[in-house]
Amino acid sequence: MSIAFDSVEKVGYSAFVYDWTAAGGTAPYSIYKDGRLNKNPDSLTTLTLEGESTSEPPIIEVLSANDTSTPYTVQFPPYATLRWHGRAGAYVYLVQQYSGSAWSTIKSIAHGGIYEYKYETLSLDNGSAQQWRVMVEDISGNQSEATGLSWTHQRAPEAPEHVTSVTTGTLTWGAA
Amino acid sequence: MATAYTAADSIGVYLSGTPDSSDLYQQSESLGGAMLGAELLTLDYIPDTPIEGVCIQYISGANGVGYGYIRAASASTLAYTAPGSATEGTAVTLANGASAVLVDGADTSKYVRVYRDSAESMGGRMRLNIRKVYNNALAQTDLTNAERAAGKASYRGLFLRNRNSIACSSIKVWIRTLGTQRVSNSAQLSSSGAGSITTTGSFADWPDKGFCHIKTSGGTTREIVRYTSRTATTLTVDAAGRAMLGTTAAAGASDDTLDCVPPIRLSWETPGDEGLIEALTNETTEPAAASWNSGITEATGLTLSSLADAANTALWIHREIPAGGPGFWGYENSIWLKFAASAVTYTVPFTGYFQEANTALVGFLGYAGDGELPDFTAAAAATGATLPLTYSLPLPSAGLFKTYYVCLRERDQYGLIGQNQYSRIHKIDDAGNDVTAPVSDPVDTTLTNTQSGEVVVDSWYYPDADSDPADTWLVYSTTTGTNPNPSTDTPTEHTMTAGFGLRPYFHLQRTLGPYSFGADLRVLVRAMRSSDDTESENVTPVTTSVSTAEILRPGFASLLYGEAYGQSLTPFYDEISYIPGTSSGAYFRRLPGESQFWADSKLVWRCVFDSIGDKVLYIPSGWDVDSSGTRGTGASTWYEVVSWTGGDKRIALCVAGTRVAMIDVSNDAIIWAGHSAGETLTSHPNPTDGVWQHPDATGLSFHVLDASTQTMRSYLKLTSAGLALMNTDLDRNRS
Repeated sequence: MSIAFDSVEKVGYSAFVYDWTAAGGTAPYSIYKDGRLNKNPDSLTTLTLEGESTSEPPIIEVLSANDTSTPYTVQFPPYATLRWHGRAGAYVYLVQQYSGSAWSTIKSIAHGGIYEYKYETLSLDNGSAQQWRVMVEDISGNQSEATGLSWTHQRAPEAPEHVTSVTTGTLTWGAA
Repeated sequence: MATAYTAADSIGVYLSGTPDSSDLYQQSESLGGAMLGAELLTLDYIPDTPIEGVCIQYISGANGVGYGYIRAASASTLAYTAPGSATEGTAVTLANGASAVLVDGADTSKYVRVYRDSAESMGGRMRLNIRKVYNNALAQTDLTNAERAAGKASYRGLFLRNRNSIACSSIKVWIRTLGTQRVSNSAQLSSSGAGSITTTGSFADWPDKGFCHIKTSGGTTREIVRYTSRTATTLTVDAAGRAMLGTTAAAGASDDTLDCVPPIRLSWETPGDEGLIEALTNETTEPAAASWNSGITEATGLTLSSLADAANTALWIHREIPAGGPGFWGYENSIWLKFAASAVTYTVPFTGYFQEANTALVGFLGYAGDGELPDFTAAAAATGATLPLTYSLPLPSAGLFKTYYVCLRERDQYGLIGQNQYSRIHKIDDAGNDVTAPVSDPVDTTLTNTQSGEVVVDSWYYPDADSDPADTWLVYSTTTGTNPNPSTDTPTEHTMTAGFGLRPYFHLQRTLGPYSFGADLRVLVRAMRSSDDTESENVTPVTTSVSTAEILRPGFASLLYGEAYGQSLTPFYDEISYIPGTSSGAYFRRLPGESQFWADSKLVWRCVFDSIGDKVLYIPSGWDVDSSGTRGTGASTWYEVVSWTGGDKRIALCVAGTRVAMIDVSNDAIIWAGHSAGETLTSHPNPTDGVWQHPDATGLSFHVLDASTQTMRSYLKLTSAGLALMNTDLDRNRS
């Protein structure tokens, strides 16, 4: 059960207040901001969030604890998560992205033990071709072969840029 | 259960393929041949708070999505709780280098298989964010728009392998239904063509788009059809969606049962020599020996009496998508696998999802709410592939107003609709005119040149002037010699910050630039209400010629001999700049922390400035500082040499063509309109004319190098009215 908002109001440079009543459901709520789990509060009827845009608030979903469905803004978020299992002898894991005909190290994650690692990318464009890989580097700088993944990123559409006007009772949504 | 492959995971489902293929182990290339070592991925996960040495090998499809937890019950044992379960399973010992199955305490079909590859003691609790999977071999690949238009039948081959050390029996595989069974007791399909199926029950838990298995009341399959949309009680079936998966179009009956199903059917193939099954040349080639089964119950599905230990059998999947589908982001393929091992029966689901692209879905949806946020669950007010969209707003009654909240969302080719909710506000009168409350213009907007080519813009906005006030500053600026155009230019936005006073106000103070010296800077400041993007309508910019572009010299210079001793040296700094037209008789001399004004070998004034110490403007005690003398009309430059001959040597200081002060050198007099001390003055270094003063429309400022901070500070400003404002104490020491 997603919760419909009574109002969404800008209150700061890029901060917005979401307000709803009669939320119902069961605590704790799961609040997803741009598809990413943001908070798990026990009770609330308002929420203030900072976004990246000054004109459009971040897209959020508020789910109650007994929700069984997953809204597709959560299923198709702007970011992707890479995960891999650690290796003995690793000193650092190099997360690399293929862009501009070259691999670039986006993140170096220190080896903390042989366990499950993950990396969440920043927002990716809808429909963009993505190539990422993870390499192990030991303390001497020797690098393993890479474990690579490639995909076309799909995300729920963002708020489109546009203008609105009303002329003699006709509302027009126009291109920005 | 602790040992892997002895209970619910006795039978594993594996991909097929040609071992020498470059696409080995790809879910999309599971087209028969040999059994591969890769299992059918039916759920995936994101690890949170991992446990050292614990690697997740497989997650049973019975777990469903959500958060599962693996807890280290001791240094060498683990226990599992499936998503939604309140009962933790029995702790299982997991040795380094071994696998084990961790089972939920309430449902033995919900398990995870883990592997340990570290001798470190295990500790803590690992949270698994378990997620469903798209495009596995069961679901198959997404349909492109072309494939959707033409329709597509495709096939995948999987192997079922008994990994237990004993035979598994009563093996059954059937298609999993995706919603509550209903009866077509209100309306049925005719013998052919498009139509509707209606129930007095509810299709509320059926997917928005999907497929329906229609059976007679006796349980015989009547037809499998596609529905392109549904309401709570009606399925809409298109003509191309009739007679699917080997069925024949037939008229329905009022006692037919309806089940939501995936668009698949199944077939066994017993592996032949070397354990191989037919290898398809491509995914659209039908396996020759397939005998398809569309059963949706264990009684009507595929059965196999027994599967010996280490034995395999193969399962073919036929997915049929009729031509002209609607496009959808969430088709689900799912099957059940049931078997018995050691007298215990296990039932495990396998699921995958796929999408269908329809480029006709790409476009926009406009929503309008009357007095409140739009109801996004209702139909959009306007839709279209491109903008603009239009919608005739219901008008208010005569003499009244209506406020509409309007929102625009975008939809992609899979039917995914953006979930943005932020709405703009339009208020209309009974004639449909937009009477959205206007936003007042900002006032007192000024530009002030500062150091390093930066310009400070100040502006004020009074919200009590508007019924629905602004909350955002918009700053438009150009240096092209043309005024900013709000219709085409992009402003910078700054949230308004409230000031405190008798009247509420918002004050904008932002630094712009840096700009090149002499740049024609034009700045338009507007106020905007972000809820509906209404801007103030002022169009006249404030302008300035950027006159300061100096980058400050390094501050706090010092000298050390080697690395041993610091030297108490004052950085050398002594500059003289002459006032043209005085034959080098009048000049400013600047020293660190001091500025001197000399004329005809007389000291006119001397400022000693230390921002944390003395700030004193010395004027020789023999000089008159008078407000009664005549100053007269001035020049366009900041200085005017009124006379520099014999006994009449006078220099006027000017602001905007008006003399604001007269330095009567011959008579030792300074004439201005008055003065005040202790002012806070903005600094304006001006490097280009070699003189540390800065003229603009509001006054003429003089500067000094602050001894403490090594930054330029203003110590005196002559206003356009001839007032001398001092960031110093004039009267304390006349000497």
